[in-house]
Amino acid sequence: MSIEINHVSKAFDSFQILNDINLTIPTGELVALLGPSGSGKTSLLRIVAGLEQPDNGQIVFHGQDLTNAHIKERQVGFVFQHYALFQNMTVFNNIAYGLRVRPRKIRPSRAEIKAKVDKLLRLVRLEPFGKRYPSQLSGGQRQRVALARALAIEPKILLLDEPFGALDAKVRKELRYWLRELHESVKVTSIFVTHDQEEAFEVADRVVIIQNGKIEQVGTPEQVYNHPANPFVYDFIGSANKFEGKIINGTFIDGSFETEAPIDSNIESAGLGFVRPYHFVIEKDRSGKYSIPVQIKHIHAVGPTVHLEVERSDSHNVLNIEINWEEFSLLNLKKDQTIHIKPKKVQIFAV
Amino acid sequence: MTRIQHSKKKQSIPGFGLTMGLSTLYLSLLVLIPLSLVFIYSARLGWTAFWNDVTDPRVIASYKLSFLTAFSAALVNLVFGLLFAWVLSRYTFPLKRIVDGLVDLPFALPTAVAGITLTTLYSEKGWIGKWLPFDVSFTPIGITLALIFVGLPFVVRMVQPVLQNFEHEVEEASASLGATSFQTFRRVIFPQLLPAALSGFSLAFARSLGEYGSVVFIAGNMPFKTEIAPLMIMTKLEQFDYPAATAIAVVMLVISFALILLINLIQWWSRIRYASH
Repeated sequence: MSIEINHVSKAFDSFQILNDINLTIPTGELVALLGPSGSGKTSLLRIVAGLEQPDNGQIVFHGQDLTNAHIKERQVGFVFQHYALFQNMTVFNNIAYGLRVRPRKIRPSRAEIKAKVDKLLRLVRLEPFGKRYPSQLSGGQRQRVALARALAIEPKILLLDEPFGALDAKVRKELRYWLRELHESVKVTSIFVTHDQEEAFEVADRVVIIQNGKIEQVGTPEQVYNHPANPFVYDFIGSANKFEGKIINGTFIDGSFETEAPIDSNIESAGLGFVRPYHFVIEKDRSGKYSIPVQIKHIHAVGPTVHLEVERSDSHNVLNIEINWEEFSLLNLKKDQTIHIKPKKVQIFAV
Repeated sequence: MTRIQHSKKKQSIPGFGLTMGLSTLYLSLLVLIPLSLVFIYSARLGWTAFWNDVTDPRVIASYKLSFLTAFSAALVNLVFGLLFAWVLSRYTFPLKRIVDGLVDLPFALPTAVAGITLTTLYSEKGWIGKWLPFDVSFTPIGITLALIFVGLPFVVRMVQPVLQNFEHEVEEASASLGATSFQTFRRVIFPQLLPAALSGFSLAFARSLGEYGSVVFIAGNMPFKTEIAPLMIMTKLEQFDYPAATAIAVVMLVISFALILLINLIQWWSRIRYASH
């Protein structure tokens, strides 16, 4: 079932949480709403679910306007960050809940419910835990119960609010792959909210980046990562070194550093340049104006990647550089040494 | 493996010996020793005299009345206490703080004052009593009314924190799965309130069993009709029949203890059904 979000706005008191949001999600897609906390992504999800009402705009499921429909009528599965399991019921009864509360006419028989719940327990790999209570499970297991419970009602749309937010790093990673696999097998249109760009890029078909209640960019993970639409997106989706300078005749100039700017304009304008930490070549001697003289301030050499903290000799701004261990040991770098760094890839934005 | 087992035995905060010792001393001085005296005193009677005292039809009638009225009052308080806790924790309304404070008033008010006030209000010609088609003052209904007043705060105060800490998301989850608000209440909220509500019930019940001050005024104290067990004890004491007074007390004590134990067992059973987190 497809989802259309048309001109949705929402304010709390005088604070605008969502500002004219438009988004269409085709059937079967897994979309990540990615943004910093307070960006409005959870509010948008809750509006789609029917847990909150928008001030303006429309929510359309498969051509049907459901803006004013109660969550009960929307047939959405909702997974909460803190699981929201029913503490007084076993895992089995939690999953069976959505089937048991149905009106008698459309309620499946006892045997059908049991078969269905057993199937879901297998799907979320919790077969031996049916008789346990939620308090007897780990966080990752609880969230899988929550997911099975949401899937039991065969929702047309699955909504997940920071589903892995309360879990530790290792379990998060495992559940990410698992969610991806699950989506492949169930193929239900899904939206999940996250503030973790890595999670969004790994799991989602498309990523929607939200900031201050507005959509900054929509695209596949590759599109967003390789072609960020603006400085905010670039900065948000990964660590970045920022250069502030000006653009003149197709050249970006920041102090003694120059690089080509793909902006065709004869008028001088302010510009921002971004370089990822791993997009630098390190040289012992200066090779022209495309490189920057820096002094090494700190070396963090644990793991396959070495992190360098360097200070520009001209502006004294601090830059972060990542190089692999082999390159690091070949160069034989020392603290307080002066080196030259040349960006391999610079993303320039006119501001 | 051995280390894990070892650390299990060690306690993170030391002082079990000290705290447990103080608690036992406290409980002994205040509860166990005074209560055991009741048994010792009544034992002086000898079995036959004891049996005659406690099976006196007038005394039996008072037991029945005491347990029946205390139970009914606790039951009423259970229902309305839940309602009250719900209103106080779910909604905001003007003067909420004051209303919240009023709940505790029955604890603070001398019970005799409450008894006299209720008797006046609910007597045949009282402000409320004159509108009622049945008598309240000087009947078991009146006794129950006084006990309801005395036990009012217990259920409210036990249930209120549970309701306040109840995750709103759990209700949203229930709604998203297609449950009506009534189904959410019956299947999700109510079962989680039950242990606290039962605690409140047993406290209100226990308090009502021993209540004397407010009841003697509204009861009218007619033999076989409106005499409560604590009053029978007082009557015996006034006649300087201490052994008989303690004999009645012993029976009250044993039955009350058995009943409260039973309620606690039910509560323990309902709690164990979902090991609280």
